[in-house]
Amino acid sequence: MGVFIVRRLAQAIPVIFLISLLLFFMMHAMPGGPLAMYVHQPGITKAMLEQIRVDYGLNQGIWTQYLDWLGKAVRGDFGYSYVYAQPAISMMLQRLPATLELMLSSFLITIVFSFLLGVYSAVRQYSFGDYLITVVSYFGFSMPTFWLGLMVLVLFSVHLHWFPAGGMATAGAAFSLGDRLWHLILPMLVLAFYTLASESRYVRSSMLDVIHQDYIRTARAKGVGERRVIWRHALRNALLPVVTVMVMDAAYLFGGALITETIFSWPGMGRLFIQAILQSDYPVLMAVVSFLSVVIVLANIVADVLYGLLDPRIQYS
Amino acid sequence: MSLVPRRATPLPTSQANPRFESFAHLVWRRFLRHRIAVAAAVVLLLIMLAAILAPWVSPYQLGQPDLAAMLAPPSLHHPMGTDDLGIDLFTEVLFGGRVSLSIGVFAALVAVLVGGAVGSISGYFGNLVDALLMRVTDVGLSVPLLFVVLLLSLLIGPTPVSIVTIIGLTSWMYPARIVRSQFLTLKKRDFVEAARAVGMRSARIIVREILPNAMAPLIVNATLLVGQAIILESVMSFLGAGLTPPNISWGYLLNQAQSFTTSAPWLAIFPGLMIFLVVLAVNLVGDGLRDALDPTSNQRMH
Amino acid sequence: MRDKWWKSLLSPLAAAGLLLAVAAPAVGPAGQAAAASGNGTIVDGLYEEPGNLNPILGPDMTYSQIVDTAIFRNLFMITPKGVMEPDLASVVPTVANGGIAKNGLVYTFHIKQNANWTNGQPVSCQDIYETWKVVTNPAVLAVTRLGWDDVANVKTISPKVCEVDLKKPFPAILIDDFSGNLPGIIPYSVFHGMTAQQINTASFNHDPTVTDGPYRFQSWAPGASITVVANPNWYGPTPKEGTIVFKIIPDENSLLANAQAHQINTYYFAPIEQAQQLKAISGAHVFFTPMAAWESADINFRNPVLQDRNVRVALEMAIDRQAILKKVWLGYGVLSAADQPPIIWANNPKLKPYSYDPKESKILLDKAGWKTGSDGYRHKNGKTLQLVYATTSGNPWREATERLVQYWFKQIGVKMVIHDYPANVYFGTVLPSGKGWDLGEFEWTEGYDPAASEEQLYETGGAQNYGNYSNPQVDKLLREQDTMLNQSSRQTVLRQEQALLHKDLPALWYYTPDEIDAAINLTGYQPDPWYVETWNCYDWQLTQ
Repeated sequence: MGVFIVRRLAQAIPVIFLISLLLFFMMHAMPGGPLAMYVHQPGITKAMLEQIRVDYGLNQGIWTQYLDWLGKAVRGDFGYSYVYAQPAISMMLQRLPATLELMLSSFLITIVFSFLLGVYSAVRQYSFGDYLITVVSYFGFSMPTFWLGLMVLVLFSVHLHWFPAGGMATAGAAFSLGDRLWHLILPMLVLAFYTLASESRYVRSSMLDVIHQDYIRTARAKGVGERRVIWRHALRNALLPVVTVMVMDAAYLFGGALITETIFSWPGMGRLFIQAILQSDYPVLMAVVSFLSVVIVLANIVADVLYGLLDPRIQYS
Repeated sequence: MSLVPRRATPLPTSQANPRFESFAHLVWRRFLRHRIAVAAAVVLLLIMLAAILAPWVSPYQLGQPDLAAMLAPPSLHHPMGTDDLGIDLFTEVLFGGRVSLSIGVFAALVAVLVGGAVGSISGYFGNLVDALLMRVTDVGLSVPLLFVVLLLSLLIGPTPVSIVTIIGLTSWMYPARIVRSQFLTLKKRDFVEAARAVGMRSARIIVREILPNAMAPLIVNATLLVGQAIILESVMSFLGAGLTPPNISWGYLLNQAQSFTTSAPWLAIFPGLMIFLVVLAVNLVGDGLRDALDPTSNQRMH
Repeated sequence: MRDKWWKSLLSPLAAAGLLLAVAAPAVGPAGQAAAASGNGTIVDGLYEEPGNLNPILGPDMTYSQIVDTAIFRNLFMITPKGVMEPDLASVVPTVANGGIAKNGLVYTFHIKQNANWTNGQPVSCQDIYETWKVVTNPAVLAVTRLGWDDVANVKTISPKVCEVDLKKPFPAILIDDFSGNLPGIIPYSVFHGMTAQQINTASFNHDPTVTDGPYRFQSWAPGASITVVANPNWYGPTPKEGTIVFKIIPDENSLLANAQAHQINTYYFAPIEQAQQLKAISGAHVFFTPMAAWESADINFRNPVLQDRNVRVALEMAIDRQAILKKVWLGYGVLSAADQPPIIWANNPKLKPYSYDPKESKILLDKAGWKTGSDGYRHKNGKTLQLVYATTSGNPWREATERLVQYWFKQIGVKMVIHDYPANVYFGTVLPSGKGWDLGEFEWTEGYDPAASEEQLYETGGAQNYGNYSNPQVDKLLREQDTMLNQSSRQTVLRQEQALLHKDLPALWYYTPDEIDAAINLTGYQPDPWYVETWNCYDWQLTQ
């Protein structure tokens, strides 16, 4: 196993390298470019634009630029944001806590409810409750996030005044945990709704597989209580394949929250990312993208390892 | 290239493999027992039919503004109301369905074909081929999806064909992994060993022997991909990289409707409802298919 | 043991979640508000986060200016009536009061005695000197050097009296460099002795602790909000509230929801689709302000089809601009005959907008040799009359316009393809390249002096002359007025130029839309088309 992990890590290095290469070139191919925000400035001249190009190093060959970036990036230097003139890496790290707060809390909700709903659905397969859970959980899955988010905002914030209309805290108010949680609930639920649908399905199908296995029948036959059979014996065995999926989902939540973050004015990394795309802020874009790629690649390895733990048929040769 | 299955659905014909005819019958009967899935399939078919027949079913001409009837609520004249230009929303939803559904279906098809090819080659040959293809898959999985989608749309322009290509080429990785894991298990089975023993060529073994047995989770995944593609297309509209008129889709309509959430909610309700219905139906059909194809296996869609 | 391991996985997650809720950056608490007459918190909705708060650094972002203007002031300001008034300065210099030399080369500025920076230093001539040095340093990413480049010297007469010598007359310098922010005036005490690199990345840019405006900087939560509190030592009127929080809400629909939920007090530049919804909010006052801006669709003269004036006129007359204005813009705006809108002195009131007349359009196209084929579209020499219409994506009213234009063009047999791009791609690549579009719709907002826009947009080789329009007569008129010192003779010339633009149609003239802003539960708010919305933020007061 140790050898396997080391080998997977070794394989991950070229993957991360390839991703950075691919994204760097794609980014530079993107129309618009960092100078776009300067072309409408009063009195701007071609010479001034050229000066900015030189300042940003954009006049050099693309390979030179990439190698330059790579050389600095491996030492943790991701350059300065074109728009904010701040170190890209610190801008990203400033956004990390907000992203983690939203991501971990919604992940938590997802885990808890996907297990509860998934197990219930599996145990009562084809019951009314099963179908109801299916339909309700698919609701989140079947609505574009931007749409669901806006509807939730309009309903709970504008009409019912139950929750704030976005942001992380009440403007100008002193810090309070209650206030933070109050702001967290809507974006957290919208985000959780989306992953909840797929994960409760995984739990359901995984449980269904297990319930029909011999040892569960044996446990029942031995007179073990039904609740204990389900929650101890069956769930334990149904857990691992689900966990591998969840690890990946958690990784994607880092970058996948950008729409929820936009709708709910949540100052997380996803929004920084989309803003960097729209402003062609290359240093920030590359910093965020590199971070996301590393997180996803690592999560992939973790998922593979967990999968291996589950399925002894797969040999790590 | 000879390894790539040439048919869209490489299920062997009954002459080629009699085992399969009875299996297909079995699946069909099992699927019919799954009443919710059957109902979903019927709804899906009706929506598809309405979209296909849009030019004949729709009460108005597409894209005909009527500035005297802007933002009219649903009525007998306009069953779904009108949009901010006075265009009949029902007409737009019908025509939008053509675009959205085709994007869903074709994008899923592209993803399954590419993913199926990569997965089977990778899983069957293993070793270096596998290592290489899986690294490429890893790269695909680890690249932020929306970035690539946005970029490609800017580069090649948002037409229905380009959007199908973009979505298809950014969602083949899961099908690839599914097929690969199927191949890893199946290639050690007796019937494959037997085929190899009689000197059958690799391409033939992949297409004729293994792939049919690996189809079940792929089909299930393909149905889910249809829904995901429809959603992704709408998200592209939200990000400003979606379709432009006259190629309106449900995603386009939904995105347009956002500005009118309190003044003309019907603009958002109907296209949203259609996306919801289709994605829900597609998922339910997928569930039914999974149960019907292999009710006891522990295949997991990824 | 094994059955519990996932629980042990969950509990640290839960703890981490709570911890993070505590650890994540919070919006700063309200400051001591002794400086203000009230101590409420005004929440100002910002669509975009400013890049920095240094009043001389780029990029040029309206939202940077909005926040800057709450904490930084310049020598002068332009009031909503278009009149220049002193701000940091005590008097507006003129030739009559001796503030401007007759040759236009020497300006004398008197700074208010009680104008101080928040670190106690007086605002003085040194600050103007330092600003000049910093802005003209080519390695500094200054937002603009226009005007500052023409300064020959800045001399201290006394700490509060400053003489600025120019290399050549540049009357616009008062507007371009000494009114408002971007560029504004920076404190000598902070920037003296800094290298260009240090200036570009100074912590001051995001933490401007030395300012001279009605409010002073308190905190910036990245991506979330910027908080400013009343400045007790400001020379102007006492701010009426204690705190302004600029809350960053990067989505127009979310901004609307925030307004509807009474969670923001101001919302700038609302799209027209939201006008009725904003009006319906209790306690909301919606402002419709005529702007020094216009919406038009540039013609790409690289396409030989569009070089024929008959075709251009046919297109203009095929579009029912009146209907767009009345129905899409609910009447909030005014139709254009040429570019300059009525509130600008260069506007030529004799020109009348082209009428909506599709019959005439058809006749003109027939005349131009475009014959209607069996497919309903026009053809000439085997080519279909097809045009690509481009604009920025994500603006419902532009998309509405496009769809209407597409429909109206079809009525006269012109096939129109729509291709929209995100703003940064559209302005950064698509328009300048001249490729991939025949008609390019956008809005142009101009500064106080209209000639600059004309030179940028319609002079041969102008920086924003995207469609390669060229008329030697227009060029000649623009050069003529450039050297005129007297505004009424400039007006005569620019009106002639406007008449040529009306006739030539270098763009399809549309309309000047009103700017739409909303103030919710807030009094004192007054839009200023020549300045930014926070120009009088000291007057803002919450109603509850």
